[in-house]
Amino acid sequence: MRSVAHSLLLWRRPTPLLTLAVCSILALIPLSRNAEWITFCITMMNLIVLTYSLNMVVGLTGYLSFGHVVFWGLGAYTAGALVMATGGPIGYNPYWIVPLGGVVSLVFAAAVGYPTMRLRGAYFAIATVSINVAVQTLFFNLERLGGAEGLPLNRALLRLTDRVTPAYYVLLALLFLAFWTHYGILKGKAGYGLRAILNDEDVAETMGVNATGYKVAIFAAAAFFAGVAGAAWGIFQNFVDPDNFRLGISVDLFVIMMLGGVGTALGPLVGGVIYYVIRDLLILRFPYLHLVIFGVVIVIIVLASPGGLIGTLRKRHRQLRAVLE
Amino acid sequence: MTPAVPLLELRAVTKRFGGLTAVKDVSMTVRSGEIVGLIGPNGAGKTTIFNVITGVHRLDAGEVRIEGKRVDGLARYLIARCGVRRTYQIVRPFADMSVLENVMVGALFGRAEGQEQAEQQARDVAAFMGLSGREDEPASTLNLSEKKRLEIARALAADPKLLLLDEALSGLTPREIDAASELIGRIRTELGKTIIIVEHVMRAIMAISDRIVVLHHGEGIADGTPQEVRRDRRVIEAYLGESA
Repeated sequence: MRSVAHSLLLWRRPTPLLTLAVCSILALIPLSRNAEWITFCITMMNLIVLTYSLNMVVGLTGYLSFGHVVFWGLGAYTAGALVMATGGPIGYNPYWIVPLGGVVSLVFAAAVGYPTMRLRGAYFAIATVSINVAVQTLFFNLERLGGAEGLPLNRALLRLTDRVTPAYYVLLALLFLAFWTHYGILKGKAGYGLRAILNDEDVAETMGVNATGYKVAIFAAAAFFAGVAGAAWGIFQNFVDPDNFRLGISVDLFVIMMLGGVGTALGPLVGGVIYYVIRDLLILRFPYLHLVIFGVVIVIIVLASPGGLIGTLRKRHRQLRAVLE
Repeated sequence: MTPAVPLLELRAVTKRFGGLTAVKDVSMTVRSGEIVGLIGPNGAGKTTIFNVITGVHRLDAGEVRIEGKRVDGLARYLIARCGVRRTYQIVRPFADMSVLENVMVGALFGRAEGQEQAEQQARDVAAFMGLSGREDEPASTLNLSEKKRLEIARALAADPKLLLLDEALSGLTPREIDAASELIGRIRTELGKTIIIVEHVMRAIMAISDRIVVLHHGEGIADGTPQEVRRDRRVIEAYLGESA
């Protein structure tokens, strides 16, 4: 009985409510038919979903996944390969296959995570970078999928009249789902297990927590979100190439995550929106210096609030602690 | 009538670390409802025995059985799920979590069904261990005596069949020792737990335990009631040296 009452009181919980509000605003933007806004939001939501994916691994398991973009790239190539497999224009909406991009990344993450998530500290981080580079090199040399030149999808997507709107809503749905997943994990039994693992993995195990199982499951679930986003992005761009595995993308993800607050369910959303708005303003005002200024701004923000914006707010206002998960 | 299967059985357990044999050919049996004291001079292998039972160390020889089922070689979390929980000689609470959250981990990964039941159990156990009113404080703010009680609470919340207490009394003041000894007694009488306790505080362990197992240089040298063990010549030698 109490759990029913609990869920009815959800409106009292600002974290899901705020996310819902932001998502509702985002949902209305395509109605404006402003192509510039829509592209801006698609790019932003893509990176926010990727940051959620990264944040699940870094924030919930404590492992630094520096090569996280590999799951995005695999999703993109999965979509590309499936779309091109027909050899001609396809008769269905290609966005139906984006979940398969997630599945491929999930399976890959589980296979890679099982041996590597027993590694501790820096070794896991190094392993993920190596895997990212190895997979990228593989696709550079895979001539059947376009090799270094990439794979244009024009031929297969000939009949697709609107590439943009479905990509927009796929990414928006993913964003909300990623938030819910993270929030649900934090609030549930898994959240306790994961925090125990973060505190002391050996003790957690002797308390009955299957540490490796939890870590690999989180890693695989996180990869799923990145994979679906990658697949949607590939179709949206009409093109996949080895640049989908660019390590540099990870830098953006880490910045957004740290800006918002590592491990928090709101962090990637808040961090992502602020990051994009600041970046856009800076590019307009200082087209040549914007990266330098941005770098300084990021350093200041991170130094001033190591817990990110959400983490700092939570610390400053005790009464907000229960609210800002 | 067949004798009941013992709750815990070690059969000729050996554990080596490189050239050092930390535990050598030790056998012991613990029956349901007992409090067994495990004593011995420093380095005798007491904590190693706990690590062997909980799966922290792999055995070099021998068997560990819980309710007749062989558990050595199982993953740690699976051994825990057989109903074994422990505390640590050097306390290891989950420092970033609150008192209640620490105990909740025990309940959630024990037998509690659902979060509400787990929270209720955790609150009850925290109160039983004298931590009422401290539930929302970070575990790192507790003093040593409280941290030790928190560790016991965390273990108890899982409703284990077998509770392993590693020096739950050391480092405490005499008054705290008396209080903690009484509490350990109540864990058996009121909660019906079977307990193995490693301890250096002789007065307390002799009073609490039904039976004492003495280790020396990794070998079991005595196993009997406190009175028997106290008179055992090999035990006296181990503690006081040959000439005594």
